[in-house]
Amino acid sequence: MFRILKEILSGNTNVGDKETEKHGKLEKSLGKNILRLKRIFEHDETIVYREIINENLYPSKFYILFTEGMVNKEVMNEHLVEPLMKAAEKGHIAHRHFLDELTKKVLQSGDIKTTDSLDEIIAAILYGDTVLLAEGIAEGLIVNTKGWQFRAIEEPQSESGVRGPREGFIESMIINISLVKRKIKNPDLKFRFKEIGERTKTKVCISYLEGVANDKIVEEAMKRLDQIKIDGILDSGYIEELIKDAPLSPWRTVGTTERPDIVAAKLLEGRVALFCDGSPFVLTMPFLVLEYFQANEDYYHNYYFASLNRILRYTACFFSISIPAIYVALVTYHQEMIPTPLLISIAAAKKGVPFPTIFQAIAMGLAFEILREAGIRLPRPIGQAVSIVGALVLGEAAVRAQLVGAPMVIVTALTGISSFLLPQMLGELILTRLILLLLSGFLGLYGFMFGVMGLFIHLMSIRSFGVPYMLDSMPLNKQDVKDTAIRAPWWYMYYRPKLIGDKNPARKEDAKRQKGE
Amino acid sequence: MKRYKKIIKIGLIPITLILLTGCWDYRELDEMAITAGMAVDKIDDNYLVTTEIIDPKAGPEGAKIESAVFEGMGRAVFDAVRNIIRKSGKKLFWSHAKTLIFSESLAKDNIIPVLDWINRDAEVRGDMWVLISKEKTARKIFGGEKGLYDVLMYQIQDIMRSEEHLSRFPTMEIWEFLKDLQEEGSGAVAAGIYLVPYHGKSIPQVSGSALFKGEKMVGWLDDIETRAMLWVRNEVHGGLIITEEVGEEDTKVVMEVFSSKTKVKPIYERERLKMKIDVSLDVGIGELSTTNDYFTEEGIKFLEKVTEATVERQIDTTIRKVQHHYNTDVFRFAQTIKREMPDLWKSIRGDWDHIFPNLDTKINIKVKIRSTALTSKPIGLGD
Repeated sequence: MFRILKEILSGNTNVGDKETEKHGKLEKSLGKNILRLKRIFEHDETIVYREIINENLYPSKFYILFTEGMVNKEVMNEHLVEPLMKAAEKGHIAHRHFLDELTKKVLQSGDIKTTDSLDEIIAAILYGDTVLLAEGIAEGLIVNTKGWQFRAIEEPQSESGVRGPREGFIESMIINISLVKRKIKNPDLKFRFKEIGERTKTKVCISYLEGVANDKIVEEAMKRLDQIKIDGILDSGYIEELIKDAPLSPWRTVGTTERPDIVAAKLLEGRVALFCDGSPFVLTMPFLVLEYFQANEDYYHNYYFASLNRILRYTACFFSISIPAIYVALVTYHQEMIPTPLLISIAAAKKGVPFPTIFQAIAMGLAFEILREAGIRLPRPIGQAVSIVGALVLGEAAVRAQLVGAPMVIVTALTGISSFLLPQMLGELILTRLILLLLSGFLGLYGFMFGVMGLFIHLMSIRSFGVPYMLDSMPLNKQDVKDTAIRAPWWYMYYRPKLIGDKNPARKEDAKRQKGE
Repeated sequence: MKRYKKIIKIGLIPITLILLTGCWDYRELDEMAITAGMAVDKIDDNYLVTTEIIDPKAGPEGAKIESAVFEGMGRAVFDAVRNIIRKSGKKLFWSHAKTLIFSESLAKDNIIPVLDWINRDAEVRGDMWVLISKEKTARKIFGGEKGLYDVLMYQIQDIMRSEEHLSRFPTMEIWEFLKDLQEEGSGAVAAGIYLVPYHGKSIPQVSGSALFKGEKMVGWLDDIETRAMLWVRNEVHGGLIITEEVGEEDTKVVMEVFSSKTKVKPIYERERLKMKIDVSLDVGIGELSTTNDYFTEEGIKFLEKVTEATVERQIDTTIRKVQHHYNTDVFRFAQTIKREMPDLWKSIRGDWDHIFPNLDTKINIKVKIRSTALTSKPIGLGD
């Protein structure tokens, strides 16, 4: 205490001391407190220090501190400033419990906290709350006046759909949590907050359904979050990478979604969700290979149609990974495996094209990815121009100029379109495709087989939060197949997924009766 | 250090696994000449290999297929094949070749040298059709017109594939032909091919069969005899049975074979071996050149009897002809005896060449008329 006082008096503001200055407790002197905060927030001109004097009260001198632009000024004025200035009855409030009385009798805000910790006060000011300090009291009031601007709730562009709820998460975590809470109105739905990021102090929240989620997974997630040491978190992507299993693998072991209905569904299955303030992407854990192929609409549409779509997605995944590789392998190594008429037409297309097939495949794939990336980053109107140029120049003209064969254009197009069925898997698909393509370019189908085997061994060996990533994804049990390559009708889904929701497996009331089958 | 050695050893396993297995070779499609088929002649001591090479052309209106004929001369078949490169510029690619045509003179001499290369080479497939040219040389077939096709050899391939509607020639792929050649006591057969006039030019036609005894060809069967032989071999899938002069003159009964099943069984009685051949045919009436109404129970029975007689006569004559003229077991009797009576076969195997010509047969035909096609009445003339 003495040291801090001395520093303030001597005006010593070197960095090390400033660090210590930020911690500690409030003092009784309002002047000193304000001086100290002003020093901490030096050069930060968004912080507002508003002095209020109301002679009717004792103490009569107050300071209100908040960050410009982050508070709801109406709320602050009506619920904090106005009552404070108008409080009339002299001696009405005893000095001893002044702040307590003030909270109970004068201030009109619902969310008020008393604290004497400087850290908390600083954090509150920075997070849009208003801090009220009074003369002669070594405590302050933190009034919730958060009111910054955020995006309206709209349908997420990355996961649009035809059927189903159209709301999507936004950048405000509290709003996001409310979106999920509105879907699962149950006291068992738990939300545990944490602060990550030495400098950004980003709020994250782990959510799970108690009694359904596996406690070990929840504890593991909490443990991993505790171990994060990083100065800033700007998106949940940071956390995903910091806590995921198999950190070197391109395959994700943590799911992300922008849709509250998906998060609610995963919570009901016994998964854990992680909200991160400032990011509309909510993480779900554990994440298995199967989830790549699931879409929220699968559960809202007719189950025949949904199953068909699932199978389509599996097919598209196979196409996207292996069509260029198989094509290159067949055309350059295993010409005897191609039916004669097809071989002849491929040979006709290849005639006069100077580049080797493998080179054509890589070049066309590269061109396609360049177009795709350009389409994402560019503003909408230019994006369309890119697709026209891409389709015309790269497709038509390249074939006309005999730089690539027409079958290669079809292969590339089919590969690309297929990969759009699985937007979540895009990165993984591109990487796997390229590796398999190079392998078949060097060794033919033989190399392709080795690549596929390697891929499967890799996927089988991964675990996501202790749950096998792919190993048990094709079970033989009738009840476990219901939500894999097909989507069983809801009246048949008696149980949660075995590997995740094992703690409380019954999804429906009458599940026990059905256990016989 | 020891640990590194272990890692190297483990690392070597996949590398050797990948690099030391099988044959694989990176080859672009435009570097090779896709061969559609081949013909082999023997001129003096040299082999003349004629091939048809597919020449796909990419045009503005899409791919167009043309073909070019190349020939190569060499002291061995493989030599002749390789010598073609001197003219074609590209190495031949054999996996899509569909037909293999021998000249009659080569077939009568010895076909083993050619078959050995085809059997041994990795690229050449065992599913090429074997044909024997009735023309002077096999390469003459390549001078035929292409008719509906772009590639002559693929035209012949389609003829062979459509055999099931005809049953007038044997469809032998190389592997099957080789199997028959190698079978003890058996003789192989192959389809015959020759040129027939076509709009002032000529077009290849497949018909009849060439019979082999061992590695040498011994003679021909015409198309009807060939079908009789196929009946005994249980290789008839379709075709027409024509019986002439039924009841009155110029009345023909044409039956279409829907299905045919033959069972051959050796019978050994009183020191004599006899082959029992049971053919059961499901047929439909295809054509009746008469106004007589046969559509009564007796009428149908009569037609069945007539057809049975025709088939029996054809089979019987053919067996006699093969037994006495060619003495080669193209009916696979030896295989049947070996399978059914292995002990007996052991005692007669050395003497088979003498037993076969005098083998008795008991032919039993069962014809069942299944349908009369679209009409059940003959075309009745107005009285």
